[in-house]
Amino acid sequence: MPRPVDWLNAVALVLALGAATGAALRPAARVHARAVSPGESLPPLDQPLPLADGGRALSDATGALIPLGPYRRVASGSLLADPLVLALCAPDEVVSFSARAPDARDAYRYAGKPSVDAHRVESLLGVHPDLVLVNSLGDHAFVERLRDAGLRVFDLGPMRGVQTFMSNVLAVGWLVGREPAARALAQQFRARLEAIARHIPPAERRSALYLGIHGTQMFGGTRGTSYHDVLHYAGLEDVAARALEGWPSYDPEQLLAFDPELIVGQTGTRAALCERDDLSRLRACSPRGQVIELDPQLLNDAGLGMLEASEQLHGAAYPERAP
Amino acid sequence: MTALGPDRSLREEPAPQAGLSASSGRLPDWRLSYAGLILALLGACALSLRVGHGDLHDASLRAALLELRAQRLLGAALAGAALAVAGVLVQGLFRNPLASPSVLGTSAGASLGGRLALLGFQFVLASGKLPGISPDVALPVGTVLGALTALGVLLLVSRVRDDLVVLLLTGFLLASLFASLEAFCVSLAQERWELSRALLSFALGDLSGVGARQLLLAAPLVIAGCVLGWSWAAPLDLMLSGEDEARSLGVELGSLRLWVVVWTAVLTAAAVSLGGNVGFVGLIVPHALRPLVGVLHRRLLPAAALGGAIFVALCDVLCRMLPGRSEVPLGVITGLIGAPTFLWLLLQHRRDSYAL
Repeated sequence: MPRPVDWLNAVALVLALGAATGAALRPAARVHARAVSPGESLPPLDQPLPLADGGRALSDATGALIPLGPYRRVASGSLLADPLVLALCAPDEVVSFSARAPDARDAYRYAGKPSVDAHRVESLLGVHPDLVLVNSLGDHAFVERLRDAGLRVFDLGPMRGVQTFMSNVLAVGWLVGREPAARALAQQFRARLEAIARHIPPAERRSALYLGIHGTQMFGGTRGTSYHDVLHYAGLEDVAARALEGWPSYDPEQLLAFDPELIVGQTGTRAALCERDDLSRLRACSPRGQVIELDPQLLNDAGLGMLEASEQLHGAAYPERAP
Repeated sequence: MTALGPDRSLREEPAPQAGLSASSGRLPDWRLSYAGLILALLGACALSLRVGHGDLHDASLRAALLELRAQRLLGAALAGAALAVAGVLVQGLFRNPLASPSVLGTSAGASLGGRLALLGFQFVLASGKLPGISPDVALPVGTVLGALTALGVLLLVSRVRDDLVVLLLTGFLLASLFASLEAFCVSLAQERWELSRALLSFALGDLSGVGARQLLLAAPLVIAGCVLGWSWAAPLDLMLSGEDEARSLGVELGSLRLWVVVWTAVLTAAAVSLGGNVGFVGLIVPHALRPLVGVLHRRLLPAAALGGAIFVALCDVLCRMLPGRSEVPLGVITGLIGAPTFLWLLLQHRRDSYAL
C-alpha cells in the first residue's frame, strides 16, 4: 500500500502554489486599445403643490411633502447636493456638506464647513440644520431614521442622470427660495450639454459602451443612468441601451456581442480589459478602437460633473472635430 | 507521516460505525456508478457549451463563444471537484457527515481575501497605478492568500494542541472572525455603487468572470489537492472505525490531520478563487455518492471529483438559462438545489438504512 509521506505532500504543495503564482504573474497578451438613444427631452419642471394652510410644498422621493423655504440652515447629505447648495445658497446658509465633499475634485470649494455623514444622526443634529438634503438611493429607512430624530429631510431620490439631476436642481431652488436661479442654472446646463455634439449627425455617431471592471466582474451603466447620458451628450451611440437599462452586469459573451468601437471607463480600464485573453479581440482593444479613460470621480458624478465628463469624452472620441 | 498496517485489508466496506457507513443495503457496482458519472459529466459538458447569451450560429463569434464557455465549464468543473473532494476529506477527518469544507474557516478566509482584493483593486485602479499583477487575477490571488492565512492560524493552533475538537472550534471561530471582517469590508464599500455590487456578487458566487488566467491559477491547486487528498484515502478509511483503532493500525493522526487540513484549505481556496462563495457542494455531493460507490475514500474521492464537477457545471448552466436581466447567482442556484436535495438525501438514506 502506498504510504503518503509528509515530504511528498510538502513538495506537492510548494509546486502547486508555485504554479499558481506563476499563473498569477503570467504576462497578459498586450493588445492596443477602441445602439441609439434619441435626443432626450428634459423633464417638465417640478411644480410645488398647494398645502391646506395656503402654503406650498414639494413632494420628495419618499412621498413626503416638504414645505417650501426659504431654509437658512441647509445641510447637504449627498455628493450630488453639495454643488447645488454651493451654487444656490449664500455661504452662510449652508451648515455642512456631505462626508464625501473633501474627496471631491473641487474639494477646496467646500472648505470652511463641516463634512457630516448623513448616516450619523448625532453629527447631523450637531450642526442644527433646518433642512437636510439627501439622495437616499432607495434606503427610505435611513430617511425615516433622520426624521424620527426631528430633522426635516428632503430626499432627492435616485441619481439617474440628467433627467433626475434637473429635477434636483429645481427642487433645491424651490426649497431655498431661489427658484429663478435654479431654473437659469438648469437651462444653462442643458444648453451646454446639447451643444457639445450638436454638429455630429446621428448616423455618424461612434458606437460606445460604459464599462466598470472590478476584479473579474464587469458592470455597465446604460439607459437611465448618468453614464448613458454622458455618452449620449458626448455624441456617442450607447450600444447597450438597445437592449438593457440601468446598471447591468456583463459577461464576456455580451461584451463580444456588443463589440463597440469605444469603451468608456475609469482610469485603469484599458489594462483591466484589453489584457484579458478572452476580451482582447474586442474592437475597442484593437488599434482602430479606443478605450477612453476618465477620472473616476468625474465619470461617476451624476450631477454637474456630467457636463465636463461629456466634454472630455467628446474631445477624446472625436479629436478631429474638437474646436 | 502515516503508516498503515499492511495486513489490514480495505477492500471490503468497513463495519457500520461512526455515522458514515452503510449498515445494510446493497451497493450498486461501483464501476457502473463511475460509468454513469462519466456519462453525466460528458452530458453536462455538452449542455454547458450550448447554453449562453451569445448566438453560436454567428460564425464570426462561434469560436470565441465556445472558448469562453469552455473556460467557464472548466472553471465550474474545477470548483465543483475541489469543493466536493474537500467535503469528503473533512467529513472523513471529523467522521461527521454534516461537516463541510467551511468548518475549517478557510473558505471564510478565502472569501475575506477576495473582498480585500476587490477593495484594494478599486483603490489601485483609481490611482491609475497597476502593479505587476494583472487586474483580473487580483481577486483569485486574494482568495488564495486569505485561505492560506486561515490555514496558517489553524496550523499554529494545532501545533499548540493537537486535537480534533480544538481544530473544529478554531475553524468555527476563524469563520466568525472573518465574517465580521467581511462585513466591515462591505461597510467600507457602501458608498461606491459598483464596488458594493462587486462585493455582493462575489458573495453570491459567480463563474462568469472565469478566464484562462484564473484557470491556470486554480488548476494546479485543484489537481494537487485532489491527487494528494486521494493519497490519504487509506488512512481516512481506517478512521471510519474510530481514532483509537486507526492509531492502533499505524495511522499517524498528526500527519493525517495536518495534510487533510492543508489540502482542504488549498481546494477551498481554489474553488472560491474561481466561483466565489458556492455553498452546499461539499455537503451534498459526498452524500449523494456514498450510496452509489460506498464509503471507502479511495472510491469516494474520485467519484466526488466527478460528481462535484457535474453538479456545479449543471448549476452554472441553469444560471444562464433562467430568465432575467442578469444571471441568477451560482450560489443561489446551488443553495436552492442543495438544501432540499440534502434534506431528501437525509430522509432517503435513513429509510434505506444508511445511518447518519
